Amino acid sequence: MNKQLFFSDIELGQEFSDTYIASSEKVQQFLDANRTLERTEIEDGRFTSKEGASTLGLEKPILPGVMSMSIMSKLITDIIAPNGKLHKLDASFRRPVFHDDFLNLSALVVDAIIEDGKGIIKLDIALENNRGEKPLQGTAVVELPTK
Amino acid sequence: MTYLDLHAHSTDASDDAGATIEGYLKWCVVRRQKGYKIDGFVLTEHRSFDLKITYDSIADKYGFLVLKGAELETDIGHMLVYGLNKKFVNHFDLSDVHLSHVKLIDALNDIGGFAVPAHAGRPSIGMAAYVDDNLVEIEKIVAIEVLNGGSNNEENARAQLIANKYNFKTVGGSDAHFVSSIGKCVTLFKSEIKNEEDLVRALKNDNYSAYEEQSK
Repeated sequence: MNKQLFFSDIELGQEFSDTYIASSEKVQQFLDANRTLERTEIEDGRFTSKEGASTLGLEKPILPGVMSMSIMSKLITDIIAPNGKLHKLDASFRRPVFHDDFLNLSALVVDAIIEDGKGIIKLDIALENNRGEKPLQGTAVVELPTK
Repeated sequence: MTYLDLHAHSTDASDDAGATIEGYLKWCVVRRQKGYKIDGFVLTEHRSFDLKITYDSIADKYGFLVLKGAELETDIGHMLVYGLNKKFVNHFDLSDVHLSHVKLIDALNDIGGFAVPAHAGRPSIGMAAYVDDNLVEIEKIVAIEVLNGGSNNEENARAQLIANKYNFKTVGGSDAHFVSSIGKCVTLFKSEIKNEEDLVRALKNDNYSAYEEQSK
């Protein structure tokens, strides 16, 4: 279990990061665990096959958007665990994430304020691939305990 | 000298943005403390321009410049436009995603404004493909955005090649939609810029260039 971060531990500009390789195997595991994606997958194969992806003009199969979101969510919940609270997670999907992309995950502290006695942290979040693109960008608002 | 980010979006008017003006300003303070060069930014909201709104008060509070422009959509990709006035806003439907770049630039010249093709090296929404297809009235273009914070290195390199080929001036803009992107790419002006009139005058007449610092 992570060591609990407190509001007073946080500085503006502080960055949390991790890496993730979006392998085909992990995508399949995600699809298997999320049956709501089954319908889309049956229709075009964009998440699993090169052929399916190419019919949509994509060079390789892509990750489901909710998988990118869940990868990002894990970084955030790892940061605030065990006693922090996730208030808001908002993402903009700006480019596709392809199978086998090497992803740098980042959460950058852009504001830290006390609101109604609560330690509120605002984070800019991003997935960045090794082509220098940020397919997913967004914001998160979390609450950390105060000492 | 003035270092300005010429391309940014906010939650005030861009539905895909997650940053407030004050959020950007706080981050500008952080960047300056870290040694990055930034004197302000221009809000270029998607397909809209609010004639009435002014950011002078909050900009002064943080000691940066906040100017207004817009990012419009034309038949050769997106264009950053500066120096807009009531006449221009009333003449064009800014929400139109197929504006004629020729008519747009002519109208801007008429009111003393300025247009810059945005993220020029990107497919579809940048002008690169349209240049290849001879769809761009080259002589109407003065400067293009060759450093765009949302483009990859290859796309920015393609934009720089176009600038070199046609001898365009170059600008940089972060295309920030989120706080921590502001100032990632800027434009270095030799002159001091204090308002939108200064900006347009500099874009038309001065020496300037896209500027990107390495991470500190």
